[in-house]
Amino acid sequence: MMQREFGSREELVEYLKTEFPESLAHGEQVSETRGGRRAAEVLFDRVNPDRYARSRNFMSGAVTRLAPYLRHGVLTMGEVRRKALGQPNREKLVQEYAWRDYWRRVYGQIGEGVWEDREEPKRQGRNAQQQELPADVAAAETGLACMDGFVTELKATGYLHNHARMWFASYVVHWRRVRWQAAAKFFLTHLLDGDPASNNLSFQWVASTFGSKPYIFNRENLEKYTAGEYCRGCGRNQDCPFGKSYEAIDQELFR
Amino acid sequence: MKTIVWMHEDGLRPMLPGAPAIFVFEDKGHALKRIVFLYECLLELDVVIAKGDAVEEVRKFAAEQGADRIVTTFTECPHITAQARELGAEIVNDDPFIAAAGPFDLKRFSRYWQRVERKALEL
Repeated sequence: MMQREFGSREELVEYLKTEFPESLAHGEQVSETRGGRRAAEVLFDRVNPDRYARSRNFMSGAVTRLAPYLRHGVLTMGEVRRKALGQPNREKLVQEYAWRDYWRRVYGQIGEGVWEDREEPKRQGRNAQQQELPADVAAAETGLACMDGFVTELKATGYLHNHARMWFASYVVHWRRVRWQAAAKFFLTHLLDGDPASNNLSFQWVASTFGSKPYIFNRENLEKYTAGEYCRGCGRNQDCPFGKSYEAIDQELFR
Repeated sequence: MKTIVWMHEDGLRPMLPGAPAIFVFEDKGHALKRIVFLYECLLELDVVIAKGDAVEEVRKFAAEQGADRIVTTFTECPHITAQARELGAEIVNDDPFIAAAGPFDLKRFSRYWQRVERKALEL
């Protein structure tokens, strides 16, 4: 039986390093996000469906941060849904919960099939697809402040805003021509809420193997929703691969 | 009839108050930060924490407790579901998103949402 009494979080972490040495292959970072119902309830009490609906696409938006607790059943889907119902402008938040439920239902139906293309990709890029996540991407050394920032945050905290997950997925799959499975696996390893259902199927949505078109973005979009946080100090400001119109990007990636 | 609870990583919440519960860490390739998170969840719960093969450890625990019934929470995860079946565990879906009976057309989210929207937005 494993130990249950610890004097401090540091003591717990040291114990787990000894008990799970294989986990250290993915780094020794520990998130500030605490596990447990108590921590979940602090966030749960703050959920505001109206502010969520109006600001969720912004990195600074009123997102719930409940994913790791829902992922592991600390909170139930039933209770978060019921709580939203009593509040104004509840539809968007409930619909986002429904997405999670939807991905899980698909997972229940196809199981390990979440690792295989659900459908043919709708638009094929020019180049052959890479099997592995490129080393510069995984090491946060692409020189793109946004993508490197996302990877650094993911590794340090086990969290990424949903919009950042989409930008990163799109960059890796469409610009870097990497098989979505490689990036999905990287996310699953580091996300506290890593879930083969919502994670893999969202990657497939970006890749257009579970959706009608590939998801792409441009600099204007990223800059808007990040309030320019990354672009300002980016060393690749002058050769930003995203600094074009959607039409030009579409042409470049898929023609 | 004595019951034990098998708590797995998709259901880290109290289930049957008073029934002894066990959680088993299997090697799932998690980074340290995920393991710390899971462990902190477990430390708030009245549960024995073990490491190894889940089916083996749960069986051992049930024998030690003299239990002849194993209960666990529902999950869509095929690996955990197969283990639950192997254990002959009762699977309880205690608080789903909506209590709507399927099957649903899951080809696209929009079709699913169309079917469940009303129910999802009602108490």
